[in-house]
Amino acid sequence: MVDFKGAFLNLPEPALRLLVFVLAFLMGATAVVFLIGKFIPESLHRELVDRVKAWWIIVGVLTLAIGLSRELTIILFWFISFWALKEYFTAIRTRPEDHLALFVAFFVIPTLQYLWIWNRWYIMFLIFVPVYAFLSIPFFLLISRNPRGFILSSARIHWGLMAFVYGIGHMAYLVNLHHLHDPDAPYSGITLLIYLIFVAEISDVFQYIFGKLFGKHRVWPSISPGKTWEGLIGGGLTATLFGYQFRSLTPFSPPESIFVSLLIVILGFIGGGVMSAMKRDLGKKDFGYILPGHGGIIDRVDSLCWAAPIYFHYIAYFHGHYLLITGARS
Amino acid sequence: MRDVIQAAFFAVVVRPIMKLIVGIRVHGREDLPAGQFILVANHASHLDTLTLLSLFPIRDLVRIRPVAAADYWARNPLIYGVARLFFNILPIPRRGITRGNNPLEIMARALEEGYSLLIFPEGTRDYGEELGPFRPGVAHLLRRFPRIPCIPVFLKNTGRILPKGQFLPVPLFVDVVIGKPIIFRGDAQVEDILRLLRKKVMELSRHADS
Repeated sequence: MVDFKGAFLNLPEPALRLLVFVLAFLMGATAVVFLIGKFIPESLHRELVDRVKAWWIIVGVLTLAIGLSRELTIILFWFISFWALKEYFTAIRTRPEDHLALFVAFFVIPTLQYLWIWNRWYIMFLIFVPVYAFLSIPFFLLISRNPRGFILSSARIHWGLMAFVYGIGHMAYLVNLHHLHDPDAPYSGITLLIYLIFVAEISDVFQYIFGKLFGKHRVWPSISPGKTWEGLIGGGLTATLFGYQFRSLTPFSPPESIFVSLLIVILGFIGGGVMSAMKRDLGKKDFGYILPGHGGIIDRVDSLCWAAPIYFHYIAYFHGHYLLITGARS
Repeated sequence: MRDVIQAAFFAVVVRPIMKLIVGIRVHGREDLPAGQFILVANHASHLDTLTLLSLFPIRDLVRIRPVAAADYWARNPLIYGVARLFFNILPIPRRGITRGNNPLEIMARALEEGYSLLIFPEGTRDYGEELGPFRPGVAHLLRRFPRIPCIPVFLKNTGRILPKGQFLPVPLFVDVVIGKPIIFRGDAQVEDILRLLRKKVMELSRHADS
């Protein structure tokens, strides 16, 4: 399952170049944060130190999993889904009657969904959460025989499954994609996954930086104090530029890479907004504290939950005729 | 021998489950005293004892005993054996109390032997996530041992994870809110001690919501 000997060097060359770039970028960021410590308020400095530390952890874990094997990557995303569900179901209100449905939502549905991904069962991967989970969760709620709050409970549970199992699962399914005719193509599902995460996270990081430096006009003042037009435009343009620069990870033409990067930026921004609205609704600042300075897992993957499915289906629709999406690998 | 088995069980089974599947968030860990204590917490789930015991370093477990209902935990030799082996429970009777099996004397003896105690003063998991009335035993005990600090603790979500009557866990996060140690005077009134303790645990529950 884990190929230590051929690991990393099996990654296509553009992916290795991106890895070197990300590591250099992180080292640069670490140096900058270390140097500006004296000139900025201490609380901001601590926040920056925490964020840079968290990024080292995120980049390290992702690189290890993606570099070592397809299976480890799928297990990692299953764990991310599980942890996001934990944060979500802890934060929302549930009834004692929801117990069995919650158990199914935690253990049965994510496990099966990632099993379909593991086995490259494309059709099942597509319909399992929207059809079978949607129909079975109300059934498990019926067993409790209490109609009070039934609609809310079904909606809450299915919402979590769609966002954190179905949405995040689309990132995991990307690792199954391969070029049908050209085994030496510089791009594959793995580089497409790296590209998505890279553009979305560069966008998040530079939205934060531009927002801190120039942010004045809030996009949604009543929902998220941190999201400004200056941040969105600065971060979005930076991410698009990087997306254009690293388009060799993908089959996209140059103008197409700009379009797809903008798509990731805008969907990621909306995803971040949706999670902010949810936190406001629940009266919480963030969803947990797995990573210092980053809140919970949900606070980190919110933009990807929205961007991943659309990005995936864009690729499947426009590039699916020469990428292997369904069935076994030859 | 029992200590070693308990330590191994916690290191290999309990800790990894609590870390990777349950995920405990502790507020106020610095308020846990180094010496002997009487810990008082709300009770909604079997998970409560596991959560409280995993707050402490494994080498400290030998001197901590969770106070448990004898009619439940000592109802047959197998359950009692397991609970004693892995958790070192201190069984006390909830009904049919005589001079010979006075629960207060059982707890006092354990304190005199140097053990710290975990006590759920509600005496039952029946109240779930609500805080039920406190039974007076703990107050009598605190009056008798005025030099042992009492730590109030609120456990959030254990009743949602593994409620009474369920055996399938729903792995939400547990929030543990630890209060400042309280020292009661030997001449304090039992009702006052109970009222103050319950108020403290209530206050901690509000902290868990923020």
